[in-house]
Amino acid sequence: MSPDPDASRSVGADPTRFRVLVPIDASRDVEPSPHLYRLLEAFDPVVLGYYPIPEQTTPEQARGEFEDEAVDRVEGVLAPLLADRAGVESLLVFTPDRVETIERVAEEYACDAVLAPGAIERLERVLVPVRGGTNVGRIVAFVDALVEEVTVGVTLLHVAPEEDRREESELVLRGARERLVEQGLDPGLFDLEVRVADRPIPAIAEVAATHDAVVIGETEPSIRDRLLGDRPERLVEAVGCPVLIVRRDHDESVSGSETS
Amino acid sequence: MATEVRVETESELERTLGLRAALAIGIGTMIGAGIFVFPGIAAGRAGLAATASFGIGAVIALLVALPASELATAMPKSGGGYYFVSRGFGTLPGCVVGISLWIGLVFASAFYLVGFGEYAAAIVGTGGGNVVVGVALLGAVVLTGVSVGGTERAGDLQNVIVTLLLGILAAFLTYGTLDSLGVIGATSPPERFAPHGAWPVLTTAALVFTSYLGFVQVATVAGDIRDPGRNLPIAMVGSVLVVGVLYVTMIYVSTAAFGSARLAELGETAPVEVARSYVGTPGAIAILVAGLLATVSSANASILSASRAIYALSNDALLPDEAGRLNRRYSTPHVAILLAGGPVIVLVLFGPVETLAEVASFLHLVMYGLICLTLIELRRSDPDWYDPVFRAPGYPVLPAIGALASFGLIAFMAPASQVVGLLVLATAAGWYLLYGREVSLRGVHG
Repeated sequence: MSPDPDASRSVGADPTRFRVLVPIDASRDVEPSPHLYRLLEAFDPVVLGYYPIPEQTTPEQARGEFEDEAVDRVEGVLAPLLADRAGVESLLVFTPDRVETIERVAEEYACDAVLAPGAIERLERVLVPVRGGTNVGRIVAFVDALVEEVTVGVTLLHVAPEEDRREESELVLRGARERLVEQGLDPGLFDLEVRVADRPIPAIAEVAATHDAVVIGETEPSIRDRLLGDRPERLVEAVGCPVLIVRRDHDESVSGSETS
Repeated sequence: MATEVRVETESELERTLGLRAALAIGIGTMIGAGIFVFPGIAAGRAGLAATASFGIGAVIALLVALPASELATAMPKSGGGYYFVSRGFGTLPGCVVGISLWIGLVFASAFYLVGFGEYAAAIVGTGGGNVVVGVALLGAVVLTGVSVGGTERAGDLQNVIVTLLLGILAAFLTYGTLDSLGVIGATSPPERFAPHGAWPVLTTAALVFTSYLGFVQVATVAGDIRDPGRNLPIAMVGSVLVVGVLYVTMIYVSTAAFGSARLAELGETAPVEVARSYVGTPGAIAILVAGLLATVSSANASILSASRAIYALSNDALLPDEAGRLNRRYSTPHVAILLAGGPVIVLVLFGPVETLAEVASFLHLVMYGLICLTLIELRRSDPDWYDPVFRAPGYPVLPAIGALASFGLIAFMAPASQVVGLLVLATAAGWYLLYGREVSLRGVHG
C-alpha cells in the first residue's frame, strides 16, 4: 500500500514524457480503437484494469474468481501498446469504488493525466478548452507533447461569460497559441474559437461533438463543483469522445502519504 | 491472440474503508433490534438493574474486541473469527466455529427481522402476530433478493442510516436523561435497583448480549480497511463503547419514564411509548422510524456477514465450491446469500424472539471465547507468519478473562436456547466428520 513511485515501476519510462493513466473496466470485454492507441503514442501510458465489485462481495473473493480473465483483458489492451515501447506499466485492482482507485493510482504512479474513455472513430482534430489563469501552462505543455508526436489539428477554445469579454478570451487563446508555436509547432495546426455562454460545460460539449478527443485541465473543486460533481467529470459525461484530463501540479510532499 | 507478449500484471485489492466507515459498520450492525426490542423485556426481568446487564455485555464485548483486533491485523481475511480459530486450533474447531457463525448470524438476522416486524406492526396499530411474521418474512425475502442483485455504494447509505440513528437516539436519550434527573420537568421517583435479585441480572445479560454481536463483523472487512493497525482496534472498541453507552442510557431513561413493571407490559415496542411520554407524538414517530431503520440494516448486515462466513468455509473446502461462487452477472456471491437468507425465512416463521436472540448469542459467544483462546495460543506458539500490527493489551490475563466470561455467559441462558445451540455445534462437528476430515488448516495462513 505504501506509495513508492520508484524505479522498479518505471519500466522503460522516459522522464521527459507525460504519463497518462488509462483506466479500463476489467470486468467487460474491451477492444480499444486503433485511433486511441495512436493518441497514446505521444505518452507513457499506465494501464489500470479496475474490476468493480458490489458491496456484498469481498475483494478477496472477486479476485479468487475473476483474476485470470481480468488479467487477460488488461493484457489484451496492453499488447498493442507494447509494439513500440520497451515496457508499459500495468496493474489490476479489485475495487468497490472505481473513482477512488483511479485517483489513488494516478497519484501513486505520478501520472500527469487520466484518460476518460469514449468513442473514437478517427483522430484528426482535438479540442482543448482553455480556462485562462493558472492551468494554461500545464495544458500547453501537454498539448505540445501530443502534437509533437501525433499530427492532429487542435482547436483552442475559450468560453466567454458575455459578449463584451470576447476580446479578453481572444487574448488568452492567442497567448496559448504563441506558446505552442514557440515550441516549434506549425501555427497552421491551431484554430482559435471563442464561444459566449453562461454555462461552459454545454458549450464545450457542443464544440466537442465535431472533435475526436478533448484535453482539459483538472480544476480545483469549487463549492459548486463539489455540489454538482467535479467539472471534468460532468464534461466527460456530456461529451462522447475520449477526454484527457490533465492533472493539477501535484506536490509530492503533500499527497498520497495517508496510508503506509 | 498471436501476440506472445506477456507482462506481469499484478492485482491488488483496494482498501476503501476509512475509520468512519469501519465505525459505521460496527455501530450499524449492533444498533438493531437489541436497543429497540429489549428494554421492555429486560426491565421486566431485572428492573433498573437491566442497565447492569447491558453493562456486563459491553465489558465482555470489549474483552473480545481487543484480541479480535489483534488477530484481524495479523489475518485480514473475510472469514473473521472462523479464520482465526481454524488457523489457531485446526480444522475441527474451525469448522464448528465457521458453521456456528453462519447459523448464529442467521438466528440474529431472524431476530432483527422479527423486531422490524414488531415496529412495522406498531405503525399499523395492530399488535397481531400475523402482521409481525408477515412483515418479517417479506423483509427476509426482499433483503435476500436485493443482496443477490447487487447494490452499488450501499456503504454510503449505511453511513447515512447510522448517522441518522445516532442523531435520533442521542437527542432522545439526552432529553430523557435530563428530564429524569430533574433538570427539565419533574424528578422521577428512584426505583429499587435490582428488585428481583442478582440472578435475573445475569440471565438478562445473556439474553441481551445479542445487542453486541456486530463488533466482530468489523474484522471480516479487515482487508478493506485503510491503516488497519490503527483503525481496526479503534473501530471495534469504539463501536462497542458507543453502543454500550446508548444501551445503558436507553434502559435508564425507559425505567425512569415508566418503571420496570409498566415497561414489561409494553413489551417489544416499549421505547416508542417512552419517547411518546417524553416528547409526544413526534418523539414516538422518530423512534419508530429509527427502530425500522436499525432492525433492517442489522438484518442486512448479518445476512452479508453470514455469506462471508460461507465463502470462507467453501474457500477452505469445508463446504462445496459452489457455495463460494460468484454470480457472473452481478458479481455477487448468490449461492452464499441464499444459504444465509433462506434459513432466515424459516426461522422467522417458527422462532420466538427470545430464543432467536439467545441462540444467536450462544453461537457467537462460543466463537468469541475461542477467539480469546486463539490469541493466547498464537502468542504462545508464535508461528513465523503471525505478525500483528496491533497488539492487544493485558496478555494473557485479559484474553483469559474474555474467554471465561464468554463461555460463562452461556450458562445463564434459557435451557431451550442452550439445547438448540448445542445441537448446532454437534451438527457442525458431524459435518466435519462427514466432509472435512481431509482438510488441514492449523497454522496455514497466506
